[in-house]
Amino acid sequence: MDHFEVFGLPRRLAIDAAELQRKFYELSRRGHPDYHQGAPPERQAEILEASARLNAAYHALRDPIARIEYLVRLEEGRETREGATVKPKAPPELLQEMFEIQEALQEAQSGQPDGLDAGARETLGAQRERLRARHEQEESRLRGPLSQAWDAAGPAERAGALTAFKESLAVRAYLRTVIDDIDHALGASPEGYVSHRRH
Amino acid sequence: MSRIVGIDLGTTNSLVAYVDEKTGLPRVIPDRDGQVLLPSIVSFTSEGVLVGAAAKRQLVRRPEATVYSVKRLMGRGYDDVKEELPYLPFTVVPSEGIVKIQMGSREVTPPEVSAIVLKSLKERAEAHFGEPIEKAVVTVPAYFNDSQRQATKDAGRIAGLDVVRIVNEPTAASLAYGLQRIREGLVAVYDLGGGTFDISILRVKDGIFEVLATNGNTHLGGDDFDRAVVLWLLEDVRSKHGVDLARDPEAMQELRLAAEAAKIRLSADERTALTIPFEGFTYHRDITRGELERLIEKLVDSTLTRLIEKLVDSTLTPCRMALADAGLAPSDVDEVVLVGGSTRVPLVRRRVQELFGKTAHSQLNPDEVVALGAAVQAYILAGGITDMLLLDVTPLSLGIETLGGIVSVLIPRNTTIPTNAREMFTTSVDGQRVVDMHVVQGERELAKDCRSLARFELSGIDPMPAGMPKIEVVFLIDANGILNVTPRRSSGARRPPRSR
Repeated sequence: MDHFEVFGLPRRLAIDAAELQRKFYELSRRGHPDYHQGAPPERQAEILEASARLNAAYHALRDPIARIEYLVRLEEGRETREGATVKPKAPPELLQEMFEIQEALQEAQSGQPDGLDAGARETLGAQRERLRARHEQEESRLRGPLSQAWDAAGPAERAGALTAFKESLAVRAYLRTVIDDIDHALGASPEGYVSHRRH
Repeated sequence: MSRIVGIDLGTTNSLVAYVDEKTGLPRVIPDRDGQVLLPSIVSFTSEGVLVGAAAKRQLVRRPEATVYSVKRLMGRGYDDVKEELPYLPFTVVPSEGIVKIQMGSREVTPPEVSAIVLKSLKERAEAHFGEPIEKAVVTVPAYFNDSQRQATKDAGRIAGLDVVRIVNEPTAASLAYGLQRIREGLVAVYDLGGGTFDISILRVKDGIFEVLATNGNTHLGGDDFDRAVVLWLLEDVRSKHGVDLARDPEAMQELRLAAEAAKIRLSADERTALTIPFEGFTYHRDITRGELERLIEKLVDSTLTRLIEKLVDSTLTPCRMALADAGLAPSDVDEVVLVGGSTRVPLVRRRVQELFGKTAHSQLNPDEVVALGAAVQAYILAGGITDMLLLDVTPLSLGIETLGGIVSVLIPRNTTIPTNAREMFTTSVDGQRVVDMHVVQGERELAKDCRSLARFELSGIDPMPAGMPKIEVVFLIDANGILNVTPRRSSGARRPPRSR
């Protein structure tokens, strides 16, 4: 049973968040292990399995971007995460800027712990803002037009829609990594802490 | 179903509670003297083992044989805790990935020490009900990892208790509040105890308590406040009396207890005095709340380099990260709940209220609310409540080590539990019979920076060309937040591969 089927949904990306949550609560109430502590061990194992499947499905579907990532895996016949789903790829229009940012980051890392002077901090901060805007733009594209294109696609257009998803996800992953790196360099998050694990 | 009690196994104090079937409300169980809090202290004397208040009296008399704050050692490796060992009067030694405490000629594990505390609470409950108690819900900090949760379960087993559920402390507190005190909406639970800090963000709706995100620090709490005060007093004694007390374990315990008591008084009073008689001199000192706050705020002492950030402010970073994970701004939160004795410190309250922009709840006794919530969860499991349901999350991402030591995440942090993930493993060399697997927990990119949970060998694979055998492994995190790994089916293996 795939994650869409757990909720009785077609394999489409337009999902009403409030309705999904309502259904999740309803199914949780019906089948949560807490309410079946007195059941025989085999039945308890089944309940645990079903509950784990429901929770995994809810987490894959509740966030529009995670939903797309899951859909790509599902369509490619990979139920597991074997191999990376997307290889981060720099957006072509930002290549020159990325080069400068990476250079500034390397400089920051090679220097003393708080070796970033005010000027460098300001520059990196401004670049991070631009990257965040670009990241947000990529996410809206994924949530909006690309998701709509998939839902409207006939069998012949699906491969194209999937490719578009993968390219966009790769750009997003790249931007996310660089934003994280700048966060670390500016001391805004613990070093090596991966922030993009919301789903 | 038999009776299930709720136990808060705290760093400083522990307590046991149950739900009164007549009123449907949770109640704490006092001991024979009417005391609710059992100090989580165990003393190994020649006459026997003491626990609670009796053990606390041994802190100064037998510092080397009296274990306190053992929760900070539960499920941890030597490297995790070695920086704070110089501050402990008892000896802690490394032992096969965990630590043991040296007590004279014998060694005890942290779960064995915690079991003595649990057993005392078990006996207290048995005396109260006049019947054997065999099942308990035990709470842990939400940010406890798999090893720390396992250690807590082990402690229960050693104490003769079936720990039917491990519940996260802040979520337990939300259940206690949820019974009567909070409206539906988004709730932030800020839990600063003796040794650990947690923040959990929940959505409460139609009796469902859904945790959206959790964060924290399992090594940050009131103990650290006390330590800051002790270091400051040490310096003061040195300059006033020319005496260095740092090498005298008994004097250090005196100082620690005096510092703790002064801190507690300063939550109510603006100033306090402490007087400690030492050999040859009596030390006297006035402390104002302002001085305490500056100490807590700065804590940039070179001996505490890990606490680079100001102590209280360092609890705000996890708050912000949890909010970000939940996709919320501080102002989205409808209710803020304070839990844990350290939230009595006025500075802590001020900072939390500044962050969320609203007054925080603390109507329920912050020392008792976690045990009360554990009792509510116990009552749900026993079938006594059918309209409340707690949906908690796993605090840390679970992953496996891949090529180059990089972590591939299988279950991201803040996924509702129970949950599972499947992963396909294969061989990389022709004829390979065994595949290694390294499971880690944490948020860092490299496996070496995360907590190593287990190394498995998938064996019994038939010799085949590389990449041909396919072994599916299921990673299940149960409702306790504890991991179970099961190799499922495989192609090319004669028999199901074993993990060991």
